[in-house]
Amino acid sequence: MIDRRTIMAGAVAMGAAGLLAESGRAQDVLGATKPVPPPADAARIELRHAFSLSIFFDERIRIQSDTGRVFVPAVGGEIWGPRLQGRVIPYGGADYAGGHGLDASYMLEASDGALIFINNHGYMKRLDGKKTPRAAPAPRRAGDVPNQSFVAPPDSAVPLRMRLMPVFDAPQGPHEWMNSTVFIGHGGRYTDPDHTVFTYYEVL
Amino acid sequence: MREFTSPEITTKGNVGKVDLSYAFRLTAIYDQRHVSQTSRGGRVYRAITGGTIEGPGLNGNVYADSGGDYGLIREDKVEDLSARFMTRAENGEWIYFSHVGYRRHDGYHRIQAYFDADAGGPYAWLNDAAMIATAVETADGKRVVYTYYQAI
Repeated sequence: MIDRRTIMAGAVAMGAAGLLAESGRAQDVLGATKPVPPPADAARIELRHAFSLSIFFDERIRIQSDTGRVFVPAVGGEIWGPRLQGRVIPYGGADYAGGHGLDASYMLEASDGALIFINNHGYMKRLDGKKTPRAAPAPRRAGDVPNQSFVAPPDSAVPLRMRLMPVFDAPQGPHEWMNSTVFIGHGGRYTDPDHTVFTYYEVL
Repeated sequence: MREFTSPEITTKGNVGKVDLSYAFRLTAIYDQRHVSQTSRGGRVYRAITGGTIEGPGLNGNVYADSGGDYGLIREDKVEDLSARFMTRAENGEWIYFSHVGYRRHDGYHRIQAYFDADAGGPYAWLNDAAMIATAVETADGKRVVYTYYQAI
């Protein structure tokens, strides 16, 4: 198996950097690999790891609309980390992305039984500048097998960057801090079995 | 409800790293802040009357009277932020700004920002960026400095 770091380094050296030079852009999602420091007098900002969660996938359905709306249900998953533990409710939601980036809603269940809603907005991009092939047309007859060729490749196969800006709705009680905290997230794609690991940070 | 048992995976220890890259700073000038008591909560209205943007990612101006803050003050006194306004980059391009986030009594004021920029233009990267911001207000609430960071 090819090491991910090697691919990333290659992409930065040849792919993304080349793109940047070509377009002459000041900054680019694909090219931004080294963080730019803020001005010295900027307000303090800090990221603190809150929790991680895995979401397992099986079905992938895409409507052949202008926006290419998808339905990718969460078959389940786990939540672990310093500030939240529990599980992802099986089929409690899906990614309904259409048009602009990821747009998933899931229901989480904390280990104390509390139900927490998450809307997971964000993007997933290949860092090599190539496009993942679009799926063939959806089956037209009931009983046909949905085409799943738009499955996102794993990080080990192509360099990906997935970042999330989630919003949570938690019940009053020990989890209510999630209702008034801004989060930012990282997503990592894996296969065998098909899943994504999301890592969420509190923006302090 | 369907049953599911998460399979054992080797990726639970993978704590994906996120870096914050400074993008730009926006100094907004606001008009008087109004709060209307509605059945949803306290609807804020604070018109944006101008402002400047500077930094490595974007330079330009806030288009005067193009919107403002429309947050909602909840029962627990936290303000669910909602702001929208138009800006103009130094090349003349229009860029739409949208903020969500939280403004709390303890001074916490953090934002998730969304943008619309011309797809073929030099600021197209803003359309896909995961951007967060800090906000610092003057005591009279008429001037707010937003510092934007791209999550990379």
